[in-house]
Amino acid sequence: MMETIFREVARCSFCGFCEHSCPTLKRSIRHYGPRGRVQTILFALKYDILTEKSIEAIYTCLVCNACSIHCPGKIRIASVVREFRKALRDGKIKKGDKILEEVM
Amino acid sequence: MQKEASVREELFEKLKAVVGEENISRDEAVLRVYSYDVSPYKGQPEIVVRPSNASEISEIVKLANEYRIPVVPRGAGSGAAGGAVPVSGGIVVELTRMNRILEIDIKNLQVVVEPGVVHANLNRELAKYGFFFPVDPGSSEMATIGGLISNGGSGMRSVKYGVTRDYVMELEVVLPSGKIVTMGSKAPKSASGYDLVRLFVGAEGTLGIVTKARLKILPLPKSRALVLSAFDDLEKAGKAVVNTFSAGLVPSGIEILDRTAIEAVKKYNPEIDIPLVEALLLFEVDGTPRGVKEEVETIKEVCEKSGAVKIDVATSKERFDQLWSARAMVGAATTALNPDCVRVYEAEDVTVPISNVPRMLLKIREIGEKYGMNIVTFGHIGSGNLHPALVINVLDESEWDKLWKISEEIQTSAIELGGTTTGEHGVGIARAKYMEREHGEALEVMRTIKRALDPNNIMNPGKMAL
Repeated sequence: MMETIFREVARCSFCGFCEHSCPTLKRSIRHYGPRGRVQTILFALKYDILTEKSIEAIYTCLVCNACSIHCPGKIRIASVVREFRKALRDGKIKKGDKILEEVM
Repeated sequence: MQKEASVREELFEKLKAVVGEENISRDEAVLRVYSYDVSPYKGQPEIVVRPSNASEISEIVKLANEYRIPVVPRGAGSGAAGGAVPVSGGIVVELTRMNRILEIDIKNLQVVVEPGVVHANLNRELAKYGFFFPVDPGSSEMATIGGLISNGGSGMRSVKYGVTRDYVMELEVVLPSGKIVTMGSKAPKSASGYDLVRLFVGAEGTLGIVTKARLKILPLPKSRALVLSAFDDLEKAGKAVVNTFSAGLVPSGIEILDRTAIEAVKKYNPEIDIPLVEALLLFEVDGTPRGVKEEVETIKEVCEKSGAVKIDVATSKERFDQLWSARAMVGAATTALNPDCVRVYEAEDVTVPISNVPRMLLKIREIGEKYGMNIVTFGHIGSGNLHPALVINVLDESEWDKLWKISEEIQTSAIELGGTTTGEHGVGIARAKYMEREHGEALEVMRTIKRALDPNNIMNPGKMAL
């Protein structure tokens, strides 16, 4: 599952076309938008960067799917967020793990 | 090291006192979110602040000068040249809280905005009065006016309406010293003094931070139409554009999509009805209903003579919006062409004189064939501005090697054809290495200005080869 998540977020070209559709970004700050969340997941998997703030970013997502609809690359953003949450809950992602080495 | 850490702590506390605890962060994960834009360049800041007014920004810049730390202004992070990427670390100043439209002055055809106003929001507001800010970037729904000004952006209607530079009347700027200065004039024209406004448009935050802008606006045209002309040959399409201008026409926009770009559009929205040909030109004309009708006829004639295989006119609002939104999305939609591939924004903004557009199109195709990459080409062909899209598997290092070579060849060709590496996206870090070739001695003039205004080089260092 971790590999699927990684491959999906690695396809993000940072274009930002998803962002205007995000209801939480409108009410909140930049890192709590879809592009910020995709990057948060990517950085957690790639560089083992996981903080309270980034977990908060993941959990403030409404999983409403508006961003996925607008993604020109058709990245399944909401599903990735959901799967990442599950991985967090199941203890599959912890700070200090060499997650990327395990998935690649 | 210990001393360094305590000094940084001191700076952090002082910045916190300026913007408030909720508007400052140094959380490792949060900082990463401000480490990128649309380009492949990355750089991590040490601190992110989110000020709400010019005097806060002035305090931030003064502190940065005192502590000799870089300041990088940032809007929506939708730039494509790394302009907002903190390549030298430092403080990212995020301007999206400053998102108010301060004044809509219809009598004087102008509007005053803060830098964080999103482009599309400004035009939605102006439409209520029957007016618009004609600059029209594809990233309208996310790009901020501050970013548009600082990158010298433009967009699809630049053929007739020009670029951001043509619409900025007055700017309030926080200079690298922290001083807040207003430049330009409220008058429709002014011949007084150096044109500092034009200097700051496109300065990419290297000379200061724009905190307020007075922009020219225009009445919305009464009528618009779109002519779609299909060609079985890329060069023929390029020549049709040259012939259009020679026929005395100035459409509001002329866009081109090549075969792969058309495929990307169809993949993104399968319902869209456009022919799959080698090249598709989209001409937009606007004005009075009668004028639009006449221009449509002339464009049809020119295209027929230039060898178009199919011509179609879209006048219904539904079809019009569908085609334009598909065009705005095509660049990013190229990522959907292949599930393993991603579009990388490199060499994506070359611009050449109109008469050299056909040659530039051929050159891009040649370079693609040489390296075995199908380069997706589309763009604002009416202003000589092409957006070749390089699509690669980003997890494969050898594809990156190929990408850098292609990028270099495309951009060098554009310069050789009398053009520039960037028509509207800016230099940032992506095109810094071409500055000397594009500007020669003039680059030294730019460096002199930079040194005079920012002697400690704190404003967005590492950009534009300054």
